[in-house]
Amino acid sequence: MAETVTPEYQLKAVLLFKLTKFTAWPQTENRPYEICVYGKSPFGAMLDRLEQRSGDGSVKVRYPLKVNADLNSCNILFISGAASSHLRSILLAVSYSPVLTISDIKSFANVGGMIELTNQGSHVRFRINLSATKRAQIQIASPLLELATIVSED
Amino acid sequence: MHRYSHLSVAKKIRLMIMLTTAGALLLASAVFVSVEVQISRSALVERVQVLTEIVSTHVTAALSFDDVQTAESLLKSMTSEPDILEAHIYDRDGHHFASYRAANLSESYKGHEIHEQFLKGQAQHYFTRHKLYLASPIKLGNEIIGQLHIQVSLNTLLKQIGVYILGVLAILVGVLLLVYLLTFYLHRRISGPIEQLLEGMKVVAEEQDYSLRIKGGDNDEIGAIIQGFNGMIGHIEKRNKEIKQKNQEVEQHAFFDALTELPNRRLLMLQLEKEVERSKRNESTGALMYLDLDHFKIINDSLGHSTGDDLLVNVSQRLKKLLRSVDMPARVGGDEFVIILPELDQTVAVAANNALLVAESIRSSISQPYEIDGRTLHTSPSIGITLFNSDNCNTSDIIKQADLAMYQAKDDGRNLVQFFADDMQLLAVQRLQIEEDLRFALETDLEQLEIYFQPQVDHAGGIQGAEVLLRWHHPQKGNISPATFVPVAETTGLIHPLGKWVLSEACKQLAVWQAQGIKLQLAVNVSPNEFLHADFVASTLAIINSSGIDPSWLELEITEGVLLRNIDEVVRVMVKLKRYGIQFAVDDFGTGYSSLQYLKTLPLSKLKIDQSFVRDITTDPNDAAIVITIIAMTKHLGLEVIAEGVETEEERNFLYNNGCDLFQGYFFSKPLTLNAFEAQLKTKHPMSPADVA
Repeated sequence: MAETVTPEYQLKAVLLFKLTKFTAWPQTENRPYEICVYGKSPFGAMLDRLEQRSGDGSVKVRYPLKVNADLNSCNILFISGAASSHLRSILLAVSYSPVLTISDIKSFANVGGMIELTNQGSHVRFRINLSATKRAQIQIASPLLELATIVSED
Repeated sequence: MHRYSHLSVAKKIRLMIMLTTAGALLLASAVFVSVEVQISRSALVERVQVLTEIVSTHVTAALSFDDVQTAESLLKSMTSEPDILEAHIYDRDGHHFASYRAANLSESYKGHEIHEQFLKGQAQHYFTRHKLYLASPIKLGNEIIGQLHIQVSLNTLLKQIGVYILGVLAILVGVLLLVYLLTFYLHRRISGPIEQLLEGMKVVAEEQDYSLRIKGGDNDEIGAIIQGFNGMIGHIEKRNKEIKQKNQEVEQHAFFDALTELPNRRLLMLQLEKEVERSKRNESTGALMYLDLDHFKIINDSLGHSTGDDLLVNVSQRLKKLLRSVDMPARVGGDEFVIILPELDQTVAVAANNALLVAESIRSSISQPYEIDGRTLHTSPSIGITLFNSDNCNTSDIIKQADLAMYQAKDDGRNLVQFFADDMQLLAVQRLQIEEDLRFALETDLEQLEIYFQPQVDHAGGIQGAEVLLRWHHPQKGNISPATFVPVAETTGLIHPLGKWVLSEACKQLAVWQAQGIKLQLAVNVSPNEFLHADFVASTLAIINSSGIDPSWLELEITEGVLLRNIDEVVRVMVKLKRYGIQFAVDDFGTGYSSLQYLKTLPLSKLKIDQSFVRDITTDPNDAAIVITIIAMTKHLGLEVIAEGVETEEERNFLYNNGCDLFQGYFFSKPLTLNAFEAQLKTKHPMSPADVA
């Protein structure tokens, strides 16, 4: 696949990897971290390259996911904009598992998603729904919260 | 150092303490300050490190996600530490990511240098003079994702340390002051006693006063030294006392007889030398007595030495009791004693007499029986006497003379007093005899005494009066001259009864003549001792009253000498008697030194020119001139003048031609018995009944 990835998604791919450092999941033995991408991946081969670069096998990338795939084993679930139509059912599906849900779908954090990525110029900003992360027993490191906008559910 | 060595111990100690204390305190202060600096620095580093760690943790996300704004806002939390001047965040590649500057900070950014230094290491820091540079890695998990570099101002730290140093200095000064005061206390406790000791030692050394003790001193070494010193001088004092006592004992042995405790021959000789010198100086005569106990050897041999010794002790006790305090008895041999009687009298005869009296009393006292060991013992002394004065002043001669005299006494039969020289003996004995005989005559045999009359005549040879003269007809020795017995009477006090007797005899006769209508002036001599006797006025008046005479015909002749003794008393007595009409004449005029001033104040009626002038008026122009002057003077004073001792017609003529009123002497008549005088009166008294008849 030789398609080109926009700098925005190159940055967001790195960001997905970095987020593992600021997130604590209840089951720590569940390594390596699984970064899953739901819907059509906007990252191209970026994630695979990052997976390789990390080198130690601590992060595993899963995409594209099959329709019947078990999303509960993912540590991070990036929901691409392509899947926005059935966002609610996806969130429902992982709502009882410690899966950190991330998306750049607008108002993602407001509808039950955990971390919403927004664009501010060339920078990416976070909007974080802390009640959702609490429900999933996921802890977000405070330095990350310093950067983020805390969002409450509608 | 030279000056230091001259300081007193106290000052040395004080200086040493002060220097040591100051040194120790400075050292301690330096240590404290450096420790404080270290502690303050580490505390600062720790504080800043904690802060940087917190900030580092918080900026991990900002750095990871490239959020400079958030990173810088996080860095702003460092305003809580106002000393932090700058903070910089670098990413893992060493690129500057975010920075912080204290609000008031001027632009002096040196971040890159620091960056270079710190980039490799772990958390590091270093200090410059004014700043702390500190680097802290920013870690995300195990991964270093950047560095936080901080510059901290040390102003607060330095200020704090400055305050600390000031505090330490204040304490240092305070402690030094306290120590300085403490040294005075120490001085009192330690150097004080030492100085006291020193003072004491000086006093002891200078004044040789070993009775001194030094007070003070605690229970320490100095106290022990003081006690030791006191003990030492106590020892010396005790030793000195012993030596003194020993010396006294030695002296006692050297100068005193162990048995009788009288001075021995050595001390006697020393004393005799002194007394001889003194008698030469004072022109007086003293006596030395050599006394030996008769038959002492027999007592000693028959009754034992201890009895003999007891006898000697008794004899010496009697001697001490009899003698004046100035006299010195000494034991010079087994039973031989020598006694010095210093300064007995100016006159040799009186001294001899006194010596004899003392010797006699010693002789009679020593001859009294002794009770020794229940036994009655008898002994008697033989006493030799010699006199010493300027004529006899060789001490060894004096001793020899007395010794010889003593042997003479022994030869003469023991229990005797013997003078060395016959004339001395005679003088002494004679006086003694005269006194005894005169007393006898006065008290029991007045027949021996008689008054004579020597006529006093006018220019025509008419008898105007007479001088009453005493004659002593001794039953064995015949007539004794007044020149011999009057001085004895004067020294023994017999002069008073003698004088009274003469006066009363004269008054009796005067009364007889006055009853017969014979006008005669009787002149009676009064000696100075009599005249100045407290009783004189009363006794004289009593005699006059009992005789019933007209006192204006009685003339008392006093010598010029009496005027010199107590002029005020003389005037008082004269004035009293003059009130009754008694006349006064000055006898022996010209021999004394009476001044005109005296003569004017005295109620005199007559002057009597001494016969020593009259004797030579025809041959010695000086005497002639004196006599002329005296006569002229009496005229001037309105007094009568009489010359005594007139023996030739030339003398009478000379005196008469020069205005002399009355004359007395062998040229006219020698002293006459009452009968002879009355016979003369008949022919020569101008107003005598014979003339009238």
